[in-house]
Amino acid sequence: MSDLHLETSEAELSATDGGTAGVVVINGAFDHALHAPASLFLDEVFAAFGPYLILDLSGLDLLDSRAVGLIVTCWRRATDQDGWFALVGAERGATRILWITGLATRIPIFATVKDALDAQPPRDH
Amino acid sequence: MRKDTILKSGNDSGVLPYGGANLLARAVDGAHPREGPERLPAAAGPGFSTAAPGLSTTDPGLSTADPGLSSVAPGLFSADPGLCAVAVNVQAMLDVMPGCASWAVPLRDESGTIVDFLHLAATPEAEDIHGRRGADLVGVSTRQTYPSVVGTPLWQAFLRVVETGTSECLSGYEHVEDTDGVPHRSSYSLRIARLAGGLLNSWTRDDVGQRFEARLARTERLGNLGWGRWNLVTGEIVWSSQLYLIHGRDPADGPLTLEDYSTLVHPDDVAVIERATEMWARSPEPHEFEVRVRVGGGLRNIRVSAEATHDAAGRPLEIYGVVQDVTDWRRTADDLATANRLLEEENRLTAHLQNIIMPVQTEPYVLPGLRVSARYQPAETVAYLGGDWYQVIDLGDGDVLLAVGDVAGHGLAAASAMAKLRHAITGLAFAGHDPAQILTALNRLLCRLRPDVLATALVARYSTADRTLRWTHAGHPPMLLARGARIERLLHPGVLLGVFEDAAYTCGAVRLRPDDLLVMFTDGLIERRGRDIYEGLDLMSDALTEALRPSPTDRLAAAMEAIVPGNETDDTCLMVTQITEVTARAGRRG
Repeated sequence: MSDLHLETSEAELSATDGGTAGVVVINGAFDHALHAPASLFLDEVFAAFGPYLILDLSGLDLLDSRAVGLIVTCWRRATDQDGWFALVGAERGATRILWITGLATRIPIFATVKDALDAQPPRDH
Repeated sequence: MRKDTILKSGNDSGVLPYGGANLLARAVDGAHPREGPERLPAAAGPGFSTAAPGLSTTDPGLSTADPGLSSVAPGLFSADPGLCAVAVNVQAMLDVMPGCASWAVPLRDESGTIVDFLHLAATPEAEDIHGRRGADLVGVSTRQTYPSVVGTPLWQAFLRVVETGTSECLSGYEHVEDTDGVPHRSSYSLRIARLAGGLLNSWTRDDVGQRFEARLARTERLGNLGWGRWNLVTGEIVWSSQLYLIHGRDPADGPLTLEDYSTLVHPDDVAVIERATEMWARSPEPHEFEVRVRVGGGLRNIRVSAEATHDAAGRPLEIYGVVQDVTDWRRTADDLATANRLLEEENRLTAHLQNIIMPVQTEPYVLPGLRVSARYQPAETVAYLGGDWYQVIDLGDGDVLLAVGDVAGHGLAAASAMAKLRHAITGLAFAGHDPAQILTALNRLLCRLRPDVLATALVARYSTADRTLRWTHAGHPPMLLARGARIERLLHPGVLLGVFEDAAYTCGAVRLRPDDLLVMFTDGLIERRGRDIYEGLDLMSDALTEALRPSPTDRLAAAMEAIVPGNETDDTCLMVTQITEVTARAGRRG
């Protein structure tokens, strides 16, 4: 599986194979301007890694409500396909909106990608 | 380059105005002795003795040249004293000629066989493959400096012209160099003539011109542009190859006259061509215009920048124009303009819809037991406009509904979702539900009917009878309670609406006092890049404390004034409620 990469003026997205899940890292501003390119990027991520994804948000300095919508879409898509979806680095200031919206109480959150991979339930296939 | 060369010659000149002869003068110092020719057992050709011998003695300037030139090839000049004068003479001639040319004499071995050519004069613009120019070529020998020439068709031509005296033209001569930093292959066209016992040869470098032409053709192709020239006197018309391509025309059919070209122009644009023709007739300035031209079965957008040259009487002689096919660019620009227009239209409609749903009211709403001020600031960024809302309504049973919310998304879709949500909340409140029941029902409704909509809301029901506020907030920042100058967050959070169908909400409750302020808002007020939303919340609390500490007469107005949007790109909604003494009418229940 090849790595995926996307860079815009305000953000940088990459996806690598974590072994049992795809690891998506988003740095910079995750806002309305990134919505359309990030949607396409995440489509590619699902195509490449399947519904097993870890989204690392520790490099974000902005996460707005449009981005929250995209995270929800990813979570729905992964769980609808019996996959697994987790967030990393969501304790930081920019991701406070995940707590205010209550998503942090519903979507698993880990301090590091390794913690997330360690906690991932075994895959059926 | 030419200018530089001439200037260089002039600056060097102490006695004579031109570089070549001046080099002869400069060589008095013996600064640049050439080694090559001295090693050759040279013998002058038969013609040398025919040179006018008296020149060096009749001109004081040239008299100093003689020893200089002798230092270039002392053996040669001692063998033929007249040669120097001939060289000076030829140089004087070459000094006033444009282009690349030099004059060289053959050097022979003892058997009389030509073994080399020594260059004794050159034009100021002459340049060899090594970058030597003008005077620097004097003293250069062919065999020593360009050994690869020996044996080539050029060498053969040199020998033939010396032998026969018949001038020759050589085109497409391929020169090969193995020296580092010098083009390996280059091609030349040369003319060679016998003159004064030596060879006069002029040359042009073809590969540079060919490369230039190739670059020009590539530029034309990439820019989809071509050029054309219409001579109005002779009728001669020249089109570049790209111009034929742009107009879908076979070069074999030749170019079009201006009159024929006009027949291809869209009837609505003929006036543009006529105006251009008038401009050319009276002005030498370039004139630019764009017309639609029939090409194949369709119309192409053609941009033209053309200018005319005139005779003394002001009649146009020739029109030269650069022509570009801008159809694709025009189409993209038109599409973009249409998209922008539609976006602006939607934006205007959304703002209008917002205003219908939530009319701006500058004066506070006065309700039983409370006064409410609200402010809605539409986003400057189109991407955010349309999702924020607030509601304040007397429920008629002594209760008041207070709510703010945010629908993710933008434009008409968000505005219409916002309107539905707001009305649903109002309807459920009128049906007597508490905020938790309202949001639990609303969440299920959204999950079922609009899974594409994400929304957050803060819903509160204030009972004037006992001044109790019951509230819950679904994915929404908490409201602030200001009592005196002390600010508290009223936290009773639940998950955002429209994602988790099993979500349930509960209510918090607080007993309020007269003059308490409730501050409800949407995240645009506290959200800013690089900052924790709670930091924004703290800043807002500080601003409120600051505004309320002096005990202003109108606490409501002071609070509204203290809170300013921190993020103009997003919609912001602010609603501040001041608890007042219960009036007799409002208090009839209790």
